[in-house]
Amino acid sequence: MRPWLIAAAAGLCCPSCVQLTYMVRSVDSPVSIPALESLRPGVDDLTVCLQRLGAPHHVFEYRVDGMALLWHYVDGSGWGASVSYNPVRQAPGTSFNMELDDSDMPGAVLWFDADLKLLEWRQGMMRDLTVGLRRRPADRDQLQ
Amino acid sequence: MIKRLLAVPLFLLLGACGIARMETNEPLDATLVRTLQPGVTTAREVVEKLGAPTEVVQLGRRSAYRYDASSAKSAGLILLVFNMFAQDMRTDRLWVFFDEKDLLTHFGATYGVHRTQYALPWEDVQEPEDNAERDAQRPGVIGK
Repeated sequence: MRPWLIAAAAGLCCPSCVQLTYMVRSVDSPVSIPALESLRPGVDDLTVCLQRLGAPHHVFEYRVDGMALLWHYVDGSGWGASVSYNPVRQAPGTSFNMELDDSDMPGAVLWFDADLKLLEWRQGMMRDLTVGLRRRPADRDQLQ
Repeated sequence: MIKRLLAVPLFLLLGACGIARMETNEPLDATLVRTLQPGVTTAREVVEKLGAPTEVVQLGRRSAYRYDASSAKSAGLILLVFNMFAQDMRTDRLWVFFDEKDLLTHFGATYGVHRTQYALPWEDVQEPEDNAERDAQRPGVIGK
């Protein structure tokens, strides 16, 4: 019997040691690009934007009385591998995990002024779009 | 003897399929959401109809409440050493916006939990025909 065949058989007998995983993940539907492109900054208001894009995932305060609406989704796949070795049950074991999928999410942000007119929209990755969005709510003094 | 040894991993390779389902909150009642009237409905009435929101956001003098629900379905092919998984997760989202007097000014809703499906990694879960068929079966989603 060929040695490599025996080695492969032995390897398959210890599946807890080595695992290779392929994962496909989908979260919500992609943001509609035609709907985004149909929006007119300075003309369309919050009502129009909500009708065309539906409810956002997050809403943030923007320049006190304005707001920023954020949509995102996941539609991707990736590989993962894990290796673990624990020869004695009572002794500490070692393990190694690796995920090769991209953890960032695509999406879009719409900014509105105090009159709730669309100022700007942008599409891209969450890591870029969310810069500066998360802030403390405005102080009472700023609302005067 | 060697043939018997080889039979063990071959048996393990037969593997198994697995499915899992996870839900958060009750799906939103689309027919109830359609009864909300900007300029008429108050924050108190919204809470009486829909219950406590998941999140409240201060937007300067305004405020916004988020209601949501999610459904995730996962299917996997577990071959021990090599595993494949697919997860489809959709959300229902409703944002209601109030002015400084707690009067409803805008709302936007997206319904997705009924579109969630079990699928293997090579299957497409975003087919428009599938979505349209499922939308038609959920009261209040079509004909907004």
